[in-house]
Amino acid sequence: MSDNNERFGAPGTFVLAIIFIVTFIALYFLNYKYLASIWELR
Amino acid sequence: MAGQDFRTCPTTGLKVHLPAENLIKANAVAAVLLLLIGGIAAAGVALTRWPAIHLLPADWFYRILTLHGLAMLIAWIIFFEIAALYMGASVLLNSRLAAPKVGWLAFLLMVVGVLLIAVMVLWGQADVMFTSYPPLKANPLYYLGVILFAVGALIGCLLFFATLYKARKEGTYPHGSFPLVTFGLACAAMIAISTLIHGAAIYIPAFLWSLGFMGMDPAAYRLVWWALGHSSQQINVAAMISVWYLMGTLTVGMKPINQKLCRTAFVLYVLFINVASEHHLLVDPAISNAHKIWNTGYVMHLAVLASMIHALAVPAGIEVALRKKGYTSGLFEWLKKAPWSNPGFSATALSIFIFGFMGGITGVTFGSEQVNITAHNTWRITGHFHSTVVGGTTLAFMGATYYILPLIFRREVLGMGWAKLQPWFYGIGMILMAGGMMLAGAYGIPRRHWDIVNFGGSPFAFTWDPTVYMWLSVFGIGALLAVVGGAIYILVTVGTVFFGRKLE
Amino acid sequence: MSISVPDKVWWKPIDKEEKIWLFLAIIWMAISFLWMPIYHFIGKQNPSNESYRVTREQWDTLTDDFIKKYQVKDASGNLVTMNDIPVVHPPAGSDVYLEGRAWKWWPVLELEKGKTYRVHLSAVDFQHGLSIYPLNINYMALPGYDYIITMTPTTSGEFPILCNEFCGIGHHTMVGKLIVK
Repeated sequence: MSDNNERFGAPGTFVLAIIFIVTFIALYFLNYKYLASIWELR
Repeated sequence: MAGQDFRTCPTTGLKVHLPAENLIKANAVAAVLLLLIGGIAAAGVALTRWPAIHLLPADWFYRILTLHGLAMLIAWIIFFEIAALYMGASVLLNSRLAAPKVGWLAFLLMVVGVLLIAVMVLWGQADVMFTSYPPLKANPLYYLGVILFAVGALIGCLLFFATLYKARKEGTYPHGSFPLVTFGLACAAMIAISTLIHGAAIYIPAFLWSLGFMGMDPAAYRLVWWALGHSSQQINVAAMISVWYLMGTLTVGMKPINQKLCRTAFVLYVLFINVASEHHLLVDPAISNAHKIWNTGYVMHLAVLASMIHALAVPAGIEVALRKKGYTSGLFEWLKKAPWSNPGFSATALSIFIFGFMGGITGVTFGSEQVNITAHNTWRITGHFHSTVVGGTTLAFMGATYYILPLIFRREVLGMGWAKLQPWFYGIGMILMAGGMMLAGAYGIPRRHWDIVNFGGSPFAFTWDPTVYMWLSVFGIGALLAVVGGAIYILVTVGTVFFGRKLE
Repeated sequence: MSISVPDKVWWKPIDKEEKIWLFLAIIWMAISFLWMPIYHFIGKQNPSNESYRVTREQWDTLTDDFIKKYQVKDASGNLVTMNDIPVVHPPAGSDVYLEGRAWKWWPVLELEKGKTYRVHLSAVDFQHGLSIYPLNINYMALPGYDYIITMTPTTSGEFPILCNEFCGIGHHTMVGKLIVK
């Protein structure tokens, strides 16, 4: 029942993960860009 | 070990403790029944918020919305999680459940709690929404219902740990660490215990306050309530990711690529996620900016790191397993040739996508200190948590059901053709619905609001940017698809339990 | 398998791709965290850090005085209201008061574009949620707390104010107005 840890060997997933983090960063700063357009608040 | 209490599962070779199996069945059945109630409520809520239909009158809308939150977020998910905990501790470790009678006591308390909550809400004694923010006050029996349910769930968690201890002591599984799924569920149960203690810390005072024995500060209530409200979602995250690993193995024979990485990520959840509840309070008075940043920024982001690790580890494990089956050409042949017609697999894949790309990203973004000014209490938040807890957790649990039915209920899934379509209806519906909510919310559409068109006849009524109506339609169509998906799930599940062909 | 006991020693080194991903994730988490305090220095939209406890009596006195002092009068000297809610034009750059009550935002404020105001926000009966359309600016108004938002309107017009925290059966009728001239 035991298993050996596999080699990574998942290039497709790696590409998907990079797409994910790029989307993440873009959306995060896009929201700050939108925020910067409203009134000044402190 | 008395042999007659066990059967051997022909598919997995695991020894199944029959009293544990009965408890798993009872909790799973309760979960599905409450999903049905919550789902009917969901249809009522969605068809009211879609201005094209605007189904319910105002008082019933708020009442049904309260019921929807409690039936889904509390009852369906926690009943299912308790079933998963018993399975992770007892079935996966070939062990007997430490004390089945205690398990039935927990079940009874949870059922009584839920009934009390449902009766109070439908009777109009608790028009306070899921959060019951004071000074809004419900009937004391409502708070008591929540307390009973929570105590039941707490007992269930303790029974899980007692079973782990028993299994280890009796050596019912090969010597070594727990399987990854059991480990992940143990992390979920630890978070659950901490969460439920916070629940006691707020619902017991709220109960006493509703009886008139003490005062209640609104800001303090919000702080402690969200220590329950937020971290209860982290039970769901940890349980859902455990289910992802489980389903990866059951559907394509996945092996975790690096156990060290996966397990460390689960530990990060336990250590850091419970603290991050202040992102619900970013535009509240009474808490300093420094504390808000510390709590939601530093600590939450360490927990998000854990999700980012799983976001790579789970699909990578699936990819490796599929490549081993020979789908090795190019970057994505494995993805194209994956068993998309297996509802267990498609539900898991959709769950990973919706949770990560929609729920995860928006959660961190809306929960960052400044952006929250433009997100708090708008429909963006509702869209976010429907991506995480519905498109993510609920869909993953639905996928797992297609394996629990043959393995635990020992029935062949009835209406497999419908079951194959179900995750797609539900998943795509949820993508459209949550997406519509978030985009309409970006224009300021509020959550928990009965009439965004006429504002109940308010003289200050105004009209929204016309784009909003397009997103409202996307929401409405998505909601209908999701309701269809949910209905198929319930029909298939109930049909299988009663009429499915018996398996040996 | 995820459902079976792992090797006795599973604490094994991680592969290159996993290391790269871990590195990227940690860096991004650090940036997205540090961005919040950094934005306090470089950004112009930050949550308020100023709030006080206030009793119902204190708050009522403050708002009554404020409205009495600055309520707008028309040409013939009559007090101006909008849908029975007083319209108040406070001096530029002063302390202004905005109250959430079931189910009104009280009073209607008239502010001047480009001037900075200290907006005192509170509620008297239930929790309310201030939401200014179409800017999508949202803050909580809690009974017992005077939450001070230092606000500089940079656009002019009439801005509806919604309530976005459930406050009872008439919640959806709670709409107010903010005017910037």
